[in-house]
Amino acid sequence: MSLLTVQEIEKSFLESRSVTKPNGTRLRINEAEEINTKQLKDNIWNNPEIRWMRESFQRKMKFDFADSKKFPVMERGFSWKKMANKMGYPNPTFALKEADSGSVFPQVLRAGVQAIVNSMYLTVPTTYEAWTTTVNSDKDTELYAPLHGVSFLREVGKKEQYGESFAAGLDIKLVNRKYGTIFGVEKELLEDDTTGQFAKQASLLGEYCREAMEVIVYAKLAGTFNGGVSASYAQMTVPNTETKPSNEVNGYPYSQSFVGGGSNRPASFGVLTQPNIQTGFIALMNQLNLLGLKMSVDPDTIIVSPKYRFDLAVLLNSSFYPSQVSSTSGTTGQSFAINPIESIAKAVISRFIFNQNGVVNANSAAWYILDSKKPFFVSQMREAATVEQEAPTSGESFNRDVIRFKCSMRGNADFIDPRYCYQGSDGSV
Amino acid sequence: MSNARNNLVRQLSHRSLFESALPVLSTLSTWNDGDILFFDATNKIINAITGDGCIANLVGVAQQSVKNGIVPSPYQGTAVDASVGFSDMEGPAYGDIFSMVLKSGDSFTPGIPVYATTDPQTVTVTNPGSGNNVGIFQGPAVTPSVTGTFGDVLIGARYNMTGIHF
Repeated sequence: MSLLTVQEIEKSFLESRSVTKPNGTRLRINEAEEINTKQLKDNIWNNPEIRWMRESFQRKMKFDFADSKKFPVMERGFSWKKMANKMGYPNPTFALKEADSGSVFPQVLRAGVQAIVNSMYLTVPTTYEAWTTTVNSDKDTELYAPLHGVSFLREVGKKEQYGESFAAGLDIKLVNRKYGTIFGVEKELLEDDTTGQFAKQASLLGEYCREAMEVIVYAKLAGTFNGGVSASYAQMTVPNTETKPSNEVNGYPYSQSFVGGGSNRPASFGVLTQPNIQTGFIALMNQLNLLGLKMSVDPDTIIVSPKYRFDLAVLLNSSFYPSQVSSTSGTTGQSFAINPIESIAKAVISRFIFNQNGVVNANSAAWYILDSKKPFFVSQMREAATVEQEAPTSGESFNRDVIRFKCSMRGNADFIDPRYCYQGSDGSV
Repeated sequence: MSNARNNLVRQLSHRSLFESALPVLSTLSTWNDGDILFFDATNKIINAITGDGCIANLVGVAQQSVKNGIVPSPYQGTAVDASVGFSDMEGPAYGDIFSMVLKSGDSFTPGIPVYATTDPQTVTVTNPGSGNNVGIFQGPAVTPSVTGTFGDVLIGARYNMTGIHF
């Protein structure tokens, strides 16, 4: 085998795929061996991350984008113009403009973004899953109609006519709400950012979607705020609780006199102390339903902001009596007594506990006791998180090289029945 | 009472003085998709016009139907209807051509200013007194219009502006 001259090498590099030497030998340039091509394709399409993406895509779009017969964009001779014409569009730009919201064509570019987003999405630390019940929604509005049961027995005398029982229940609806934003960045900034941080901002949008549900949940947990204001966090506003039945006139979701006689708040809010926690547990165990019957409420969770994180840890984990010795004669529990609330509940500490003014305050003094085993509070998911990149062949991406990502989530959260939750403080004390 | 309909015919500048309508909603806000809206400066809300007196604060045409501040639910009659909170929504648009109801008996010619009536979707060629037109008639001449005739009108806005803006 003869060596190539410098001129021959230069000429070879100028040619795209192959060059034929004067002796007739065909020299291949930049063209992989068949076996390597096969291996390369295998590595590309069958590595775990891409395979996951392909399978996810196939479930949604009903075809495999790695299948060159069904999706022949990588084949030589493939023409986007012919494809657009075949679909009835004059050109690809027009077709893709139409297809911005649902097209299957720009997805190869978008898919990489989605994979990053989803992996980030799973790692976001949120707390609402610890005590809410997540409901998958597929409608504009979800309906809930739990019955509280029927009225109780009564004594029946001889030959006396039996009393009739009647049922009572709730009639709740919860409409899905949409939240989202668009993040645009210069193409040049994306390319030139040597740290790669701007490329990662798109994945942050997915994280925000999950945090948005955390904000909604804790805003709705607080329910209402002083002056009738709505809860707000950054630019996001969350309405007050939307599941208040029209016949609950004495406050909702926290009241001292629900229909039926139930109660889920003290007359005056108190700080997070052992006696106040005990009061909350006692109140929930005495909870009454719409018919005035005892409810099976078994509190197992205490929710606080970071302000009370360590106080709560002491209260729930001490073996000995965790409060200061009372000077009141006859008070149960003194030095060396056992801790009656040791491990009585799990602690949930959220950064999104709203105070009484509807503001997320790191030092919010609000605290709640609830029964997380009951689906009394739903986090309703219509669309958990969607992050899309604008089609690069149209819009701002095409006109100005502005790469734009749009994230959206759709859902809502609210009480179905607040009788399973006790508000020890709204944050004001 | 008007009928809810998407009456946007041609989108020209498609602007809005309140792109996000949430801050200007209240339980007093009720209108149908396609109604001409005004800004109620007393209550700081937008609402359907009720006559010529509203046109000094004209803000455009409603892009959705709203009843008592919220988009009507497909599920009415639950125990919690009154508790549903206001949603953010697209505000009224101006600068576009909308298909409006032409007041019966009026004659419309292209380019003629049109004025409000007591119905939020009906326009007239008769100046009701203020001289504040809501837009300019765009369609072919109609002489005279019969009940239920629609015509294309370029609708503008007037709030906090000198004259009408498109």
